[in-house]
Amino acid sequence: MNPILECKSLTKIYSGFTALSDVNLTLERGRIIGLLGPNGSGKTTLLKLINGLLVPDSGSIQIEGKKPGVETKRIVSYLPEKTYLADWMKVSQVVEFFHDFYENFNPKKAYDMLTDLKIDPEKHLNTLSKGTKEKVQLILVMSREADLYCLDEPIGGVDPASRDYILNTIINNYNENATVLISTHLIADIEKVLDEVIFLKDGSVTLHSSVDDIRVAESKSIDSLFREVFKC
Amino acid sequence: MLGKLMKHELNATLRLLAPLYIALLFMSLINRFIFQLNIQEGILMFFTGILMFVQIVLIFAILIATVLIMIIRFYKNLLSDEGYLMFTLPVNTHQLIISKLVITLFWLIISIVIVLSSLSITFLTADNAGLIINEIKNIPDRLSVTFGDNSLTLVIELILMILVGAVSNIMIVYASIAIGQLFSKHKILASIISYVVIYNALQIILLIAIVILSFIVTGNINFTNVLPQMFFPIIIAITLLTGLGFYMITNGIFEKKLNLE
Repeated sequence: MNPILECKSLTKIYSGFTALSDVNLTLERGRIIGLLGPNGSGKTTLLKLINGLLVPDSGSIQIEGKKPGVETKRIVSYLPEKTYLADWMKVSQVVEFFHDFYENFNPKKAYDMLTDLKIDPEKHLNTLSKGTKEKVQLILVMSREADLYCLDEPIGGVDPASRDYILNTIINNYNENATVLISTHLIADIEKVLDEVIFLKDGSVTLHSSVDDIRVAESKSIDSLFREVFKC
Repeated sequence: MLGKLMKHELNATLRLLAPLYIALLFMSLINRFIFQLNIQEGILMFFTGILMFVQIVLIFAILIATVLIMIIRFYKNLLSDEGYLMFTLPVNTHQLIISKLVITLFWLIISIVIVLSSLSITFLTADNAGLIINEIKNIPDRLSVTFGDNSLTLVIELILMILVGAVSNIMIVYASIAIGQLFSKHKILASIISYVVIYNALQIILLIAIVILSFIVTGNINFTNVLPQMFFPIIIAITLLTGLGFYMITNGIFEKKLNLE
């Protein structure tokens, strides 16, 4: 079986600025992986490349052995850091939209989570706060039975009380064959759910290891290791 | 998937245009009754004048809104934050462009039909309806006088020219927006400048083509045969190729050079 994600000397340059340089990465199935790094280290660029929103300048990227395209978009569920839902739509309409386009979308799951977070499906998105919109997007993305979830700062704009619910949602909603890739700099909040971490620094992978190995080898938390490695 | 994209596109645009359509048709009905009352009194004429004015404003609003919605929708849905959703749907870039193109064309036609209906509702009476129908019936005869047997070809060519011209113009707008997003700053301004440059360049090229063609045509006494048999087909072919070219530019940018903020 192919690894869920394989990058080989992946490089992306934006008008002279190297966002990612020579990234080699293989992600296995059934893992929750933290993509950690300071602002501008290339986290979002990597997620955009995986989702076909950018094309690499050199190197290759493969999801289940396929280049990003229509086939991979079926099995990758992506939460960008943007609010990408059209404001004029009702929550129930965006649920319908996802149901229309993604075969692996489970509307019942979405409605259950909306109820748990007390979000009225009949409300228009432009009447919701920014944090609530982010919750709606995360619910939609996690209601897909995908093989790879790419979550870009999923808890950034959400209050601490809802964070726990969201983290539980992430852990409980993926099956053993799926991998969750979470980009964040709120490490302390998310550390307890991670199986693996990837440290990105100036567009290069400086560390890719299992959380247990790091705890044994360094005898410190990921959060303190991060603070040490990326000390300004 | 193309069907689903078009369905969604239709929903997203219908909610903007339908209220305008309904308002115009409603105004047209009111004005029809007022028109038939044949009011001649000063103060009342002022009010009927205002009602007529509202109808005219609505007609322009619909025509302008149809074009503006095409432009804003393409930019906002594909190249602003909403693009993050649209470009990660399991569809290809051809389907994204074609769904927008087809629905825009559909609304252009509907808007024209609605405007014509509005005018008919207000002004059409039993008397002038007969006159207009007669005029329309006479068109083929009139054309035959000038163009002989070519009149049917000519009508088909004119319809084709309008359709192909509309598609080609929409594609120029789409390509300009796509080119604009290649810039890291001032994307909207870059789109507008791209459009102005492309539009003017095409006008110049077309002018040169017409000059060259007229050189060939000059000296040919049978002008009425040359128009439908050579001149118009060439214009249609050029317009079609232009549209295709800009379609490929747009698709190429979406596939290889997408640069969402």
